[in-house]
Amino acid sequence: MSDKNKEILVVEDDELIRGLQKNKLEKAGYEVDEAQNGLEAWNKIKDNRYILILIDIFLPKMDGFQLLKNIRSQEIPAKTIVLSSKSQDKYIKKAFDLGADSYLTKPFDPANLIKTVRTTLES
Amino acid sequence: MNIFRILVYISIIYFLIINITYITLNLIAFFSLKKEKVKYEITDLKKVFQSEFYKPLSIIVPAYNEELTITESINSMLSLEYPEFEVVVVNDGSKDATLERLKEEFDLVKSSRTYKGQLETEKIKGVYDSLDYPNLVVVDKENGGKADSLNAGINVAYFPLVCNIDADSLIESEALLRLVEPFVEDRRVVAAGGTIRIANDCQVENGEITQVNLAKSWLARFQIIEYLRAFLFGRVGWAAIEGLLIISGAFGIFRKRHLVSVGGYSKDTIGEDMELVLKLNRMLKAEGREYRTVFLPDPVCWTQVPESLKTLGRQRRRWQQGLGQSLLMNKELLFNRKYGAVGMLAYPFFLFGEFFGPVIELLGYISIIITIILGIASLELVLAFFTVSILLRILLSTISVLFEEISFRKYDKLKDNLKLFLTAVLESFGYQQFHTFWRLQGIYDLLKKRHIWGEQDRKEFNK
Amino acid sequence: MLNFIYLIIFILVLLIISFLVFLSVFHLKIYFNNRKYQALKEKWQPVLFGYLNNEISLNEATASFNKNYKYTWKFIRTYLDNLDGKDFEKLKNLLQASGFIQYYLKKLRTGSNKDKLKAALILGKVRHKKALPYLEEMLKSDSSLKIKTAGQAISQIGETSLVYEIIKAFLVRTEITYEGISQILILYGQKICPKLLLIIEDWLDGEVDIRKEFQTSPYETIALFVELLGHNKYKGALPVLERLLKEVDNDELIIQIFKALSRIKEPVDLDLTPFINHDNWVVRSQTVRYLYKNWESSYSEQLKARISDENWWVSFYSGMALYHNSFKAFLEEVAVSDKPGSEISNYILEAGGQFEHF
Repeated sequence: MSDKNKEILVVEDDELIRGLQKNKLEKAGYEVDEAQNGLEAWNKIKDNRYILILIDIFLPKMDGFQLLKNIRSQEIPAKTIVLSSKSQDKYIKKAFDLGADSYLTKPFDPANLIKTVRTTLES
Repeated sequence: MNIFRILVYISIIYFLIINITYITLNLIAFFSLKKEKVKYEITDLKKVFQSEFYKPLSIIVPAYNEELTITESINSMLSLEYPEFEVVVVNDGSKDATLERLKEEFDLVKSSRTYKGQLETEKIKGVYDSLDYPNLVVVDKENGGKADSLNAGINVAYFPLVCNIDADSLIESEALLRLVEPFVEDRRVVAAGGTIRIANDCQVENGEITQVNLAKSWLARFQIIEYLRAFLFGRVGWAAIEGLLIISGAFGIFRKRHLVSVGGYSKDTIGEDMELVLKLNRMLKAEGREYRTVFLPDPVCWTQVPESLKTLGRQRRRWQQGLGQSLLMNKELLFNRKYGAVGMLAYPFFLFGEFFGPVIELLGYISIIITIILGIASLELVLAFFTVSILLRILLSTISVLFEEISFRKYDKLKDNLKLFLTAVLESFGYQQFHTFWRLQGIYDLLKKRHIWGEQDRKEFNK
Repeated sequence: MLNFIYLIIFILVLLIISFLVFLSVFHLKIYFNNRKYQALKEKWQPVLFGYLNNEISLNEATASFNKNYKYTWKFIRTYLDNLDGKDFEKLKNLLQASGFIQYYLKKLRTGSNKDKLKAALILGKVRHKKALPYLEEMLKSDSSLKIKTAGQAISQIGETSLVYEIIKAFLVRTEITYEGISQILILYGQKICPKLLLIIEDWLDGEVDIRKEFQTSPYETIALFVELLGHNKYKGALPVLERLLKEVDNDELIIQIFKALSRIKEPVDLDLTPFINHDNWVVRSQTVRYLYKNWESSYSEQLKARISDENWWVSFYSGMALYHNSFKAFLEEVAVSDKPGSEISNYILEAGGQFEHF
């Protein structure tokens, strides 16, 4: 079941938005996998090697912060971008403290998302 | 005129009044809900959630001997969607490992929190913070009962809004956002209650309801009908005419300062949630302030209901006693114009209809049987009795099922709705009568208790 | 009499049966509607994505979206909420070209109350300026829900000339709380700030009587504005905030001003001494908290004195201000002494000045 070709994991509970994110990233040339909650995401992360994970904070079954904690504690080498509707400093700080590489707020510009993905992967 | 015939006539009038009142309430509720639906669709919950302008909330969870489920339950509460809130668990002198489980799971340490003990409670043995969850506080105290635990929680709670949730309840993740909405929309709101729904046989994962199923046991199904009729549509109806008397102890939000002003929950009654709302009404009216209590059908608290006759009977017996106590402790409201619909309509209805009602019901059943045996019952009398006591009730219950399907659709399979419909019909042939019996036991308990109290008073006095 | 009873029984049974029928019919209706929506959703997603990626032209995309507007709304809502930038503009164009926007504009003008509310919500989200006159009309109503929905839509569209009207409608004709008003006004974004500053200045100059106009306490209202300025981190607010501190003596307002200043992160051109030593501990604590976030060395001596303040928060923020601005040594000294303030110094030193929640 492990599909090593998938590069990016999109974790987002809104099915329609997740579809859009996946579509945009695929058009930008990446292989994209998806998960609709934190627990599903974590299970997939354990089985696959993604180079980048796009995470929303408020997810069912395991929130984004917990996911970030797990990723860091298990030393998963993937880069992480947090994409959340929360724009307050304390959430941004917490995400970076937990090891996130970038933080984007919603509403988001898909073009900006792609740009951020590229720069995060290049760094 | 034979005494039994008279009793039958009286009971016919009683059934007519009760059932027509509930049908009216259900109808009022239905139209009120249609109006609310627009609001529901327009409200952007995300906006509330995203913004930093919210009212922070303290959730108080009284716990007694819950070692099996406490960690799952608290975990699910900690993951509720709300911008800022704390969970205050009050361990009411549990005899099992409730506190130990909490200490293990949440890494508890002695808290440096200070608080003013404005309400009197049993001795507090310790207050703990969690290293992993900064918004979790655990209060360990000597046993004192639910009301006492709630009061201890209120003392320790930090935020201006307080929400009481039972430890074994499951709250939908958006429920808090919806339940607090009225406090933001309208500054007169002092209390808001959510809906209790029955979780039996629903699929639960990680403290969340993942699939709503119709309960399998008939007893649970009868209760579903009851909850729909009385606790859901009944309350929406009362709220619509500003006669809301009860905000369920399992799921309600209040302003902390009001709770403190009325002296918290009363330990003298097992119906402490109802008594609180009555007290609140009296205090706010006395202050001459404009205020609102709100009942919201959307935020849902899922709870398990008894599936054995014995346990259910005990519960209903207790509820009836609590109802009586609460009403008696707030006699001032009866037919008191000052309290509007609460005093003129709701209180009398609950006193004569819900509290004393079972007595009239019993007399009615006995009398109709006797008149039939004695041969003095005309066909008209029997049919009239049957019509108002059973047929009208079936109409009421089935209309609740219909409204549930139209308004909320929690049961989305047609099969389930049809089963519910059947349950609504069968309810009057057995369950209703059992319920009357249990309530009579409750009334008896209350009278006995007061008698005992009376005796104790006299003993003290004679010393 | 008997016949009458038979009639009643007959009616009741008939009603009960009709409920059953109605229940089933309703259920089936919903079932088929859901199926329809699912099918439309499957059809629309690829078209939408294709259009956003410039693979499908506007005309082609329009053909898919030019009817079933109720379902369109259900589908498109989340994209309108979550997207920004060029793609958002493209979405708007699509909705315009497909007749969706016109449809709801008409509903806003001439529909029932329910229609108007829904239409206002939608047109606000698509930021359709032509809806403004009708939204302004809705603001004048007495219905809380209408005022709130219209206010929200206008805020999303961003029409600043109506800020005053919105605030007035909220305060005079609804019972909404200040949080509720804030939740809506932040939808304007930064562009509301100059407007708010104008109102504050007019009030300070005596040209606007807030109590009369808005029928509420001017201090609370100005505090609301100040909070919004802080939320937007609007640096241009400084002169007005300084003026408020100089001219107004209301504790609640002062507290809000310092909270806002903490977020705006700009130095104030004002002597803060009276606030550092204010009677009200909340004022003191917000002032020293501001200095913790926006250090000014001229206050270091005063802050040193404030770590022995009787209020925990005041001493805490004073200590934090000192710790993070090269006065760690001072705290270390106090920590080992038996002066008041040693406990708080210890607390801060042990945590290394790092607290997740302050």
